[in-house]
Amino acid sequence: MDIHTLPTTDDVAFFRSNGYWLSPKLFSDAELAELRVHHAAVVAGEYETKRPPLSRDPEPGITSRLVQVNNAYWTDATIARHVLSVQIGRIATHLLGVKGIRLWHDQLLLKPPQSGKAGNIGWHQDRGYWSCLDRDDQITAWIALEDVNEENGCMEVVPGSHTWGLLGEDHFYQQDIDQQIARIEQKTGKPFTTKPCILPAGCVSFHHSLTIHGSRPNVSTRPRISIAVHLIIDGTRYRAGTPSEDHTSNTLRRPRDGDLYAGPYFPVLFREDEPNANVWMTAEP
Amino acid sequence: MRFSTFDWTLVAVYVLLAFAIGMLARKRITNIADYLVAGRHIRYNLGVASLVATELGLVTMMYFAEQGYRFGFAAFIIGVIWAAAYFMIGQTGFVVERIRQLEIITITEYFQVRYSRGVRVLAASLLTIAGVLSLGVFLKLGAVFIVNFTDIPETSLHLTMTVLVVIVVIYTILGGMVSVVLTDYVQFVFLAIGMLMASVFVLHYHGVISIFEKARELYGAGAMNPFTHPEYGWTFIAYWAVFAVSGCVLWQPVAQRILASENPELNRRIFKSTSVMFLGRAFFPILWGIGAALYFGAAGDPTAGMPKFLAEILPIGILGFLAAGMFAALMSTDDSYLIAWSGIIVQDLIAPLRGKEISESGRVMLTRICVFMIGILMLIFGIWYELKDSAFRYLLDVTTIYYAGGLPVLVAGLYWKRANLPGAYLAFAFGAFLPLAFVAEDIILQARGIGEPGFFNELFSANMRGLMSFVLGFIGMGIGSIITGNSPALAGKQS
Repeated sequence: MDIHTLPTTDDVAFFRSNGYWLSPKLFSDAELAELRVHHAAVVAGEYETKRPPLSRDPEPGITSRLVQVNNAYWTDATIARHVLSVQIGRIATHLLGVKGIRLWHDQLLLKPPQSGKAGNIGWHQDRGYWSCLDRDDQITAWIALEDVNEENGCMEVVPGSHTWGLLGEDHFYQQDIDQQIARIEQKTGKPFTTKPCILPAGCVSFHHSLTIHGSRPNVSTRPRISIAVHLIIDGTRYRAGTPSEDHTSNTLRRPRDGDLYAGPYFPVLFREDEPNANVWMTAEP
Repeated sequence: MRFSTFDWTLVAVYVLLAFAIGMLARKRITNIADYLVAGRHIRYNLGVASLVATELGLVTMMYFAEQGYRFGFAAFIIGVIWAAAYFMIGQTGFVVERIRQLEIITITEYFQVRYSRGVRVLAASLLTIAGVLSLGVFLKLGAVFIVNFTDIPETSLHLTMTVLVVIVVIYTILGGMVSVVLTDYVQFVFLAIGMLMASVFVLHYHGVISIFEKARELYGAGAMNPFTHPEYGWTFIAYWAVFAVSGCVLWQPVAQRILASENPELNRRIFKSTSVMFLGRAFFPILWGIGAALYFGAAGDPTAGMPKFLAEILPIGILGFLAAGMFAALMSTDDSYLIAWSGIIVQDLIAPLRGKEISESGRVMLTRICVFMIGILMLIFGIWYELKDSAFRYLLDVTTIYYAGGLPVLVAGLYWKRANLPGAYLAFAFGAFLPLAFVAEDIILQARGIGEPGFFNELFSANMRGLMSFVLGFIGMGIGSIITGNSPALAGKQS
């Protein structure tokens, strides 16, 4: 993994004004080849560590619809090494302008080929699913394991939408995504303009947790495979009484109001003032 | 018997006061569990007091005194090694520092994060077996102390055990853990003073110098040297050293306090200071046991000897003072352990196996049911089971069931990158085999009315059995990990 690339001042400014940023290639071809093999194994339910993921949908073997595996890093050392990478954390802290970053959870994703509308991911803000976090400004790193483009249903973002506040439009599984646009425009009074995140394999897109995003069908003949690494700012606390208190990550330690998200279920990826804070990974320099 | 109405009054006042403080404070403190497990700061004084008070149970004093009674000054090696283990961990930060860096809350949680939920469940199962088997003896030893220290007739042993269970279970169900934490300080002070005073009276009774001469006559010259003593020797020293390190890093009441601190330097200070306290925890009761042996002679009852002897030599008032401290120690330990084992059953066995979320109120209810059930079990087992050897030996065997696998799984997980899931399973299986087989065989033989020692009793000496269990645990970890070679997802930094 390219451990030297960091967003420039312009990149950071772009992220802060648009709510997303596309990195240059961070993963080598050899790493991508290895990751694809391990991605396929986890999708098939072959867990190298014998430890199952936190949750998954659908069951192993079914790839005719969108596959989501949460905390896939538990199941596989190669995936863990990249999900918990110091470099991903370092970039995220730069973009957000914070001191440290922890993993919230990962999501191994597969959008099947020729998916039709079933491959659509409705327009949503991640924050809508994470209202239990006491801060708005969280971030996701989305790692492209294949080239992604409009043909295979790349992620699309609405630039600047992270400044619109939480809209309550949380329709990840909404398949008629055009219907949503009119409603969002009416709510915000702003034009709904999307930007496709076209990424060569090995690049990573970073988006703010309030940035509206979604995706369209994969009309290609190959599955679109990726890993989303959802990150939270070090120091984020649990806020009780929100619609997302049943989020799967909350089942790990059953937090109470005001509890810090900390510990081995929310490992530190990077801390600016503590070089060795990422204690779980051995492969990082 | 010299235990007077005044002494009973002292006991009653102290116990009622402890109850009252606990109950009043309970209404005001809602997040004591947070304090214990959620990474808040533990200050130095409370850290030391709380750690020592929790581990300073009545049962501890009974089995140390029993060792003193039977084997004289050689038994001091138990305290020396235990203190050395605490000091070594305080000095080096072995295991505890790494665990703290990983922000682990409980050791069983580490087993899940590093290996799998199955390893966590297996560890919790072995811990529960060890815990429940030991609690039966806790109860009996507590009752033996009370009937021999006070004016309760010795024939009322079983009735005393029953009353004790009822009090402890009610106290625990009503939320005694809060009281225990709050009264740890008071208990620590009471017991420390009581133990010092009792020791002064013992030394005064036998004479500071002449107690050594009398002991040499009773036990023989070799009884001073633990390295050559037939009961101890090098095998015991090796076994006990590994056991003591396991106790520091695996025993949840101890680990919990370490993991609650955010400051590694404070942890080290607490461990180093506590090592001195733990030296006293062993020395004083062993001294009382030796005093009792000199008073009653070698033919006396080593278990009941210490309380009987103290009851004879301590003046009115001091008797009540010490009894109150001892009773508080009994309540504190039994309560803590009932909560600990019930919590483990609910958190580490029922919840993971159920696979579905259990509500907070559901957990509380389940924990209370477990407390009640364990209470019944410990009463039945405590009344029925007859110890063949000393209480100390029995507790060593049952605790080794968990420790012998737990230590390699924990240490290898932290310091050996290749440690993996099959290794963890094999370590627990290999480590638990000998002590589990020995204890199970002993229980079965007693149930069938057979008084002869069983196969596993005769296979190895008690010391060799314990040491072999740890060796087997490490071998299991090594073989399982090397042969299968499955890489774990999360190894942690190994440097």
